[in-house]
Amino acid sequence: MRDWSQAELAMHLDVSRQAVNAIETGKHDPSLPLAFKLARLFEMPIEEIFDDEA
Amino acid sequence: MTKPKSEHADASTKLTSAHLASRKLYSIILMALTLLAVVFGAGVVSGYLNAGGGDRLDVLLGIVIAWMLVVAGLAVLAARVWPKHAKEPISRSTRRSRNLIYVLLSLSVALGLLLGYNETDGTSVLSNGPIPLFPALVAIGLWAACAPIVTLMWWRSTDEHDRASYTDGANIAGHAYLFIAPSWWVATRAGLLPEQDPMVVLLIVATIWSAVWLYRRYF
Repeated sequence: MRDWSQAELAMHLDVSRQAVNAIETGKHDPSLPLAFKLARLFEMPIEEIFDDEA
Repeated sequence: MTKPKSEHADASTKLTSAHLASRKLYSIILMALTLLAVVFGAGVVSGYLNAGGGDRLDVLLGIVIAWMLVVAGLAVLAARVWPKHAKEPISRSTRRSRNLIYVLLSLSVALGLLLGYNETDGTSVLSNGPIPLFPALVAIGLWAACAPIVTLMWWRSTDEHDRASYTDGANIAGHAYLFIAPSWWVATRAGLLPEQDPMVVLLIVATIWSAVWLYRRYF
């Protein structure tokens, strides 16, 4: 697993640190393109990164 | 809400909840101080103008110096309370959108100074008194042509979380307008309030919009 800070992850995703924080805390649902970007970055399927809380 | 699975998301970041809580506290303190500075500054300037003190050059110089002091003070405060935050890497889109916000703020300040300096009989930036044609056309050009272009550039450069926060602000501000404008209109007709001032309503709506936008973005 990457040992990145929120700011470093934000750099890789080309978003703000606040966006990464909002996604982590569940305050913002990422768009599909951003979710795919995250999945590619961590080399994991989207459903392994996100939980739909169903 | 879709939540990231904690074992993946938490492992990928170094920020602890204590760190986040302290940042939140600093954000609240900074925003409160900013609000106080703006309100205090507005009170000082409007009091000075209402008292009819000084000539226009003095007023302009005073406003510029006051704003420079406020901005410098906030910059020093931000550098002291956010040393780690200040050193964080910033993504290209964030830097671009931040720079465009600075451009928009500069346009707004220029507009305020232009209108305030060219008041002929009124004493407030928000007065409804007449102003000369040339500065009026410049102000209209700044606000009706330059500001929309910069806003569009900002919208295209900022990230989806910021756009969502901004949209939430717009939604709530739009509803606020829907409730405030007719209520004031009826209150005026009933003799409860003075005639509706569109600029005051605009200020209320813009303040609500900005507050919701910043809250959703930073908290």
